[in-house]
Amino acid sequence: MRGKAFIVGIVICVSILAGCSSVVLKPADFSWPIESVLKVNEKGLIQDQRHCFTLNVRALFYLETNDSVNITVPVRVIRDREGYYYMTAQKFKNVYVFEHVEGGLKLVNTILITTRGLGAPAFNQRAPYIQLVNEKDPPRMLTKDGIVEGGVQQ
Amino acid sequence: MKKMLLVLLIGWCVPTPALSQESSDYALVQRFQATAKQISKAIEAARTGQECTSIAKRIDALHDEYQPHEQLLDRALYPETFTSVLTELRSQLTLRRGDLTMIEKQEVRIQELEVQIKELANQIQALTTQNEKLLADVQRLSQNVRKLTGDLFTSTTPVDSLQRLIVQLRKGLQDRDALIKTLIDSIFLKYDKDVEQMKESEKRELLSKVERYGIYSAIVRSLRDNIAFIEVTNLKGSDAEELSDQQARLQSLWAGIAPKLTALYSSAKHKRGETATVDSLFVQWSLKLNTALWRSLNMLFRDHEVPVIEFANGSEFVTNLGAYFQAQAENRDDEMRETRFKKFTAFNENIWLTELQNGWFPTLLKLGHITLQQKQELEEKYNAWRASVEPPTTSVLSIILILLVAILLGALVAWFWKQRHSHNDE
Repeated sequence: MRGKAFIVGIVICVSILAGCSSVVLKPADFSWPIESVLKVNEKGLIQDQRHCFTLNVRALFYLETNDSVNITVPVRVIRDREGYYYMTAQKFKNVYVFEHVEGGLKLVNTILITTRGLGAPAFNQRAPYIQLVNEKDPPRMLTKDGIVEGGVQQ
Repeated sequence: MKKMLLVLLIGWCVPTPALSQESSDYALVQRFQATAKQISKAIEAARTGQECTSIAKRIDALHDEYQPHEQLLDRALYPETFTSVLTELRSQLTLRRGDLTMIEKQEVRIQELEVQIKELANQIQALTTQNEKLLADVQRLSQNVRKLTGDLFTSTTPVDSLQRLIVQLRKGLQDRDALIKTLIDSIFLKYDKDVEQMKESEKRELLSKVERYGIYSAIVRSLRDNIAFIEVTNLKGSDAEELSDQQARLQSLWAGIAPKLTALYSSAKHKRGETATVDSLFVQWSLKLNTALWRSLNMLFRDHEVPVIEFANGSEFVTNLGAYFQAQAENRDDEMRETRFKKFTAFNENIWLTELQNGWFPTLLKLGHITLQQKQELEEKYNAWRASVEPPTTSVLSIILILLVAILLGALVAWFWKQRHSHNDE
């Protein structure tokens, strides 16, 4: 009797767990063909007409420069195939990798590129990588986890 | 030598940062879009076919330069594509070429018009001089005719000369009005938009042409000459209609250009009164034409010794002529049958059929001086007069018939008599 109840309990639990498991739609490609270069307004917002989103980037500038008020350079944003956002700007030392969360973007990685600061950074879509070019520096291939080709420049 | 080769080999094998430099896709797309925009602006600004050819080459160069990046551009420019941008540029260029061809044709037409305008201005000047002389002659002859009495004036030549001159003068005035119209059309054809929408340079150009070719003075001159002409001439019904049409044509022409001239003269204080002068001359012409019309119609009855009381408008004309018909129908003067018949016949042949029915009635109706009902009213009274008159009892026809019968009888008698005598001789 006790064995029967145990089996019934197991069946119910499996059914409930099966019902709760999330559906994943695959494969997906979220990559943008080219980066967006977005000016930061006085409220710290960037607006991308093409991809229809608005984002406050004060925290990003604070993280990089410890200054979230005097923002004079545009933010360069690109999205890779998996859907991660890569952001940087002129004079930044790092490329920041974000993922989409409810109501915002969450930082998942900070990739150090150069301690001198980037002179004229630009992202290119080179699936499965994101290419970072900066003036005459050799291009670097990035993933959300870091630099695949190139390396940190001192 | 070996050392040098080694350096070259190393240089070829090891990629330098400059050689390995990759450009930004974003920058490439931006450059493509900026170049396309520049070309588009160049197309809008193109003024000659040669410029269009050069732009076509730029479009081809844009195509060749960016074709290797077509895939990237297709994705980056979405919803547009690399091909659609180039197609759009080529279509824009084709349209511009069409516009330029039309503009070039119009410029040729404008140049032709300029020549035509100069010729017209000269013709108007020549006609004005000729008309001046004719008008002076008409005035001089009219005064002579007025001074001379019928007894002293034995020949009809002076009157014929006057009539001939009047016909010439009227034709001259009409021809000049037509030339003025053509001149104005030619000048204003290029400036078909409102003066307010014109550029300052266009306004200056138009004003200079208006003054150079004396548009304003030509119109004023024409109006004054037409007024002077009416003052010295007697009209027929058809003349009145023709002159009224001529006035309407000139007035319509003036109505078309007056707002433009007013706007052009708005900056020139001394010119502001000129348009008002033309307006007042038109009013004067209209009044003079009206006066001449009634004067001439009164004169018609006077010349034929028909005692219709003088009238000065349509209602008076209908009333007074109607009263005359009624008086004749009632035979208030107690005239003989023959006299009444003769009087009616003369009126019918010399005035009613030739002058009133075929000339004045249609004119008065057209100009709105009388109504159709008033004309019918006159016709009824006229018919009553006609019904009241009878031909003389012994008509010429009957006398001729009697004579003919008498001659025939005489001839028959003579023939019988001759036959009888010839039998007796046998």
